[in-house]
Amino acid sequence: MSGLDDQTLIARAQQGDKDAFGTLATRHRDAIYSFAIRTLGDREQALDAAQEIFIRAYTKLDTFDQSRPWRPWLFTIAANTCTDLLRRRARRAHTVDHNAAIDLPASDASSPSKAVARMDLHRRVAEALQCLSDIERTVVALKHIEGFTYQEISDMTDIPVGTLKSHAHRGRQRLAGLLQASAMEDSQ
Amino acid sequence: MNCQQVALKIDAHLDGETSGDESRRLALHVQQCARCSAQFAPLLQAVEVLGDLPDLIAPADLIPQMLHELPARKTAELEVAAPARTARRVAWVLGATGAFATAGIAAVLIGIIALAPEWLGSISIAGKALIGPIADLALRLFDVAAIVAPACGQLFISALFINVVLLATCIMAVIAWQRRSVPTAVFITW
Repeated sequence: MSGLDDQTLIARAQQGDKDAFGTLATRHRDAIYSFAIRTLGDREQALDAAQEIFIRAYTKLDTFDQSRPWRPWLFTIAANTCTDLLRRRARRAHTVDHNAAIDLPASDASSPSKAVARMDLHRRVAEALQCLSDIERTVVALKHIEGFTYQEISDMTDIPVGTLKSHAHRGRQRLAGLLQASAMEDSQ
Repeated sequence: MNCQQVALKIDAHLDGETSGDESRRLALHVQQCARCSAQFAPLLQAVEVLGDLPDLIAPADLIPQMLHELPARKTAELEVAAPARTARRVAWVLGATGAFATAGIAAVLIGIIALAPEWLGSISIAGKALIGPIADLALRLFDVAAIVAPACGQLFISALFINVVLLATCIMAVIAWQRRSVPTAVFITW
């Protein structure tokens, strides 16, 4: 099953093969979980969101057009699920767990000092991401981390491309400012 | 590439919308120009690091747990979806019927009031107090219409009134339905 491509797994899952869907979901599990945790900034919420995203994907599988790529479709569900959770959270007080999004996988040990510096930079970027507004963080994550085009993000979120570019521009500017400030703090 | 060109192109570069040659010249200028480096190097670094961020590792039981929940969730969602769809259909049918009925009644009333003002003389004082202002308004509109479209003044007023009532009713029903309030949608249209 793991040797089959996404389209074959989707076709089988649409026929009711849960194992095929399980393989497909496992393949995209870490990407979806990473997106959720970086958007929501809370480990527990990200776990719930990731489950919810895959469950929604399974229940809506009949509506998936196989002539289109799977990943943008899955991330449309992910973006909408996280947006719903952020809206619900905005209606009640919530403290962002700034450490949640900075769990990093072990990097390769080819150069320990470089690996440490790299991980430190990743940590600071992940922390700074949590300081952006919800929409800036979502757009920056989809554009610069997940690599979607603005048109794909517009299709996912129903936000015009021009507006997305504004959010990305502001998000990047703030991120750069926060990283600079964080680097200056560390050097003092 | 000069500083002004870099400032203009930097966002397009960060969005991946510049050519390979433009990107190289921009990166070289930022490296070599102290002012542009101070202004744009952090931005370039931030985006580079974002693209470099690895996926976080999700717990191994995420997918097995999700698969375990699938049969119960799918059945429950189908059970919720069917009554909701039926309720929406009923709301639309009742709403549309109510809108046309209201428009029809309004057209008949306007027709009576505008075309037979002498009939008002035969109704009670309380009735006149209620219908009088409406009749006055209708007659004034009729006069305006007669000036604007003498050949079809009456038809114009009736059609205008029907359209306004129908439009307002449909808008209110759509708003109520958008807010998932089926009883309110039906009530408003009636």
